[in-house]
Amino acid sequence: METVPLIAIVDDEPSVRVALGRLCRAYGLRTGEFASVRDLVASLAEQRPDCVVLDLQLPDCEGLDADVWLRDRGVDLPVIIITGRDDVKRSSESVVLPKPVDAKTLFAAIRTALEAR
Amino acid sequence: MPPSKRVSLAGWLIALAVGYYLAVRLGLSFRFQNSLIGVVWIANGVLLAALLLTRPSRWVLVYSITALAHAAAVFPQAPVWRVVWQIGINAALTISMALLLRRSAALPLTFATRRQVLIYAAAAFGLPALLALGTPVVVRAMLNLEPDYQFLVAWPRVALSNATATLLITPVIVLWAQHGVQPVQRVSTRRGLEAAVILLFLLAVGFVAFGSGPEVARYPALLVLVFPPLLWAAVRLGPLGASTALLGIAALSAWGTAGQLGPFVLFSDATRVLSLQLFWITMSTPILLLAAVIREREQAESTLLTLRQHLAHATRVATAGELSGALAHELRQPLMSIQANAEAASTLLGRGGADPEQLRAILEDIAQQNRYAADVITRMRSFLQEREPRFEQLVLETVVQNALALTRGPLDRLGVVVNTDVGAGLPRVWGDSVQIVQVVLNLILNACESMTHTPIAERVLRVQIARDHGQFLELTIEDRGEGLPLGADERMFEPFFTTKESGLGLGLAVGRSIVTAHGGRLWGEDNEGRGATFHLLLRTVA
Repeated sequence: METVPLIAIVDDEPSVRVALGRLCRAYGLRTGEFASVRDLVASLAEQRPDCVVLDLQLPDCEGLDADVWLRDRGVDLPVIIITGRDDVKRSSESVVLPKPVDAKTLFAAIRTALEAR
Repeated sequence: MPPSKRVSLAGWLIALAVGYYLAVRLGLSFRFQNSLIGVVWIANGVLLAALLLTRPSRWVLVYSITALAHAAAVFPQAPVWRVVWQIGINAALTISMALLLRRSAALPLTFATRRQVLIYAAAAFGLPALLALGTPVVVRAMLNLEPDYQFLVAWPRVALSNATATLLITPVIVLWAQHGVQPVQRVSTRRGLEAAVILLFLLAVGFVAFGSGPEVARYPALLVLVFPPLLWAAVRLGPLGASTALLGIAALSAWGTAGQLGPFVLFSDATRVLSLQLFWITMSTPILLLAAVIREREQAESTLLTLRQHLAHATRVATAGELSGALAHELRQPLMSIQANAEAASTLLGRGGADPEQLRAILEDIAQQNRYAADVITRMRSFLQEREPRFEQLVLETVVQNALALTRGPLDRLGVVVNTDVGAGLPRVWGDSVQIVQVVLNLILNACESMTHTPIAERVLRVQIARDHGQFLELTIEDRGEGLPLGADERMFEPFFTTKESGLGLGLAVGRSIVTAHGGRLWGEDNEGRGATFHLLLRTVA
């Protein structure tokens, strides 16, 4: 039986976190919301999301390479990065979407990430 | 020419004719005994003023009108040849004077620069001395045709009567004509009150000095009495007030002397007039010069103030440029939230059976985020505006919160934790909110910059506001960064001193000039352990 995918939304800005959560749920997805990557990692023991939507503005792991940081800790999840910054220079393979991202683009990226699992 | 302009020209010419006529009559009524030489030939002062206030193309008109007025005033006492001669030499004097001043003193005459006053004074002595040699009385005295005068007596008297008119009359007319009556109505009550006090002072002193009988008039100190009000007028009321006060003193001294009162009547007739003229001449140039020096200083100060304001604004713009990336990010945050909320709501509605309560919550969030974005823009706009400094009572904490809000981008990006500690019941401070925000913001940005290499967990900014013992509030901003470069405690406040790769090196220099202009203090010091602490003292209200 196909379960409803679980999307982890990691954003330290509550208003964006809540809004993204609402959007995902409106599209029929399950969501888990986290204020930091550390919170997400702490929650992994209980349940494992199918995809992570991540804001770059995260001081606890130098933001930009949050996905690399996760991978280094053995967490291998598809990560979609949403950024409001223009100066994005990255080495990792994650999808980077500029803010403000529209639902169509976001869900296209999520679908791709879920299919690639 | 439109009718109204023609009317005003006609009115102007009539005023000139009447003024000139009265000036001639007044000049004739106050002169050496049994002589045609006036003590102060007011008419030439009026004529010169008219020339300085009109275009050369109108000068023919000015001369025609004043020649008629001159003839009307002196006929039939003087013979025709003498009147024509006198009118001609007056024209030669005033026109050479006007041309010289047009060429070398840069019209309009404002008497607001030392250069202009000195050129004017030189012309006012030199040209009358030269052209007096062509007047009927001097030429005839030279030829021994004038029964009352020797050449060496007639020449200086004619010269001085024109020099005094040029020094006393012309500046007053020219300055009042340029100033106009309307600006007088617009002067502040305080300035108006001060002018009135000076006027009363001047009149009182004038009446005492020049209106006293022989028993008092002997005291030489009487003449010195006129200087306090004259100096006051020159220092506080500028060239207009100075020249008017000079004319007032001259008129009072003439009035007293004519009424056989005051210090000048102690001399014989001839020396009396000469000493009166010398008195006018010696007091007028230094007083006009003093007014010009003061005005020059005021101009320089106001230019400096404007430049400082421009510089402060320019550095704000530069800072905003540095912040633009962070600003874009800060605006994208609410935009992201609004977009996701709107699309969530629209998806919910599309599916049907949406929960109204949930939709309401979404719409409220959208409105709130919209307000947040508007606040970000308003804050940046008010930070960037260029306006006259406006001193008002400020809650320092609000100003600091404003600066923290403007620097939220860099603070968040570096993950700096801000610890704010504001004392209770603190008084307000005097200041210009935009400028103080600028200073504080600059200190926060510097602190952020210096903490880029500090481990993330230690990036703490301590912001403290406390009462200084005295009439100051002290804002302390303490970072955990690299600290100050060795020996840079003072050097970092010099313009163009920078440790940043992309800094102008103006932030602290401008900051200190702003704080100094506020009567406060700004300094920085290295911390014992790590980082630096900056202190800002601002005057409290009352």
